[in-house]
Amino acid sequence: VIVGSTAAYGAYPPGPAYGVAKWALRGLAVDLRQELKADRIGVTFLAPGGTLTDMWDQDEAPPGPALATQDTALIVAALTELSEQALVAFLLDANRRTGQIGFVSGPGAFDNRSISLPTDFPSSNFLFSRRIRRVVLAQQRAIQPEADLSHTLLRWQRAGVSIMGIALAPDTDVRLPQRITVGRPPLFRNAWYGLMARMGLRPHPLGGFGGLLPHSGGG
Amino acid sequence: LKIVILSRIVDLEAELQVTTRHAVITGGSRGIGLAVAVELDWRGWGVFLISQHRERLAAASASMKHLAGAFAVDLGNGEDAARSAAVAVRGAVGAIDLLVLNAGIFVEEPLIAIQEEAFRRTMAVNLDANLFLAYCCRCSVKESGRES
Repeated sequence: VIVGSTAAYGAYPPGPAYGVAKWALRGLAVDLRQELKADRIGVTFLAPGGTLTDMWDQDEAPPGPALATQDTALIVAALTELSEQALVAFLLDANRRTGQIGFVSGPGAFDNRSISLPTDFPSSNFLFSRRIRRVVLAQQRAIQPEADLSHTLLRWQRAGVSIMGIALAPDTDVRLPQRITVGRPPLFRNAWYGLMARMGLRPHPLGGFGGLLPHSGGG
Repeated sequence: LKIVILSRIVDLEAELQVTTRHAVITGGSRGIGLAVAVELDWRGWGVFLISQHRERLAAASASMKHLAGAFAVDLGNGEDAARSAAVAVRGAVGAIDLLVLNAGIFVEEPLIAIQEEAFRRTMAVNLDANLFLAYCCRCSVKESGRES
């Protein structure tokens, strides 16, 4: 794991030399990944946004809402549990999501491999606005979505988002994402369950469903 | 219910963790590096910390439950520094599963006014050291361990 920075993706006025080094480090990661592939050693470049560390002076804070150091630590720990074929590209960027820093132009604008979503389940319009046309559903075993997910996925599918599925468990046959067709979700078991399920799908002013993701909780 | 689930998780971990996995973390005495070390340590990894700050390194090491080793070196001092660290790692843990290249420094000077020394230092720590340490540790990294 190479700990880079979002400074590796744009100009970085707070510390330009730091930014130059992080750009170069990203290049190093890309080439190293190619060279070590044959040895089955993975190389992951992490790009956390501003993080509350001692690197910042007492009276200064990173621009925009800052990540906690634990956020990156959790991602690193999670990486070690992924299967060998999992391709990883993470940007942890609380700043970019809120657009509070001048040198980035909004969520997902410069890197289409990863994106910060404003809500748990954004609307299909939001996905299209970020040029997302395809969604891969990663579950342990099943390719088809669980019933509670299919409500949202069905909406996306109707809007023209292509839905794919992959099973992550090592003993399953599916090694590549497969195109799936989301069917109409089954009827609710009873009226009360149906009511609770619908309440859980609270529409959000930003479009889509769910609450806003917390600021400092990572991207 | 919570208790049942937790004990199940512990069982699973016991089943999976037949051998201890080892991680080397640069800049491991504070900030993101320390957080990574704490997280992996909590998950039962043997952690090897590298830092240029002796006192902080000692304090960080003392807080680990599964410390595999610690080595104080200024990785800004080129390949020799990286090699000395790699030798220490090999002596302490042998093969490693994860190398977290995290150490970095920060200078504020604008590029058009930066002193040569500050620029070289930034590149030496934030860039060069990572390459040197990666290839010095190369022969210690287990195949299909996820990282370099």
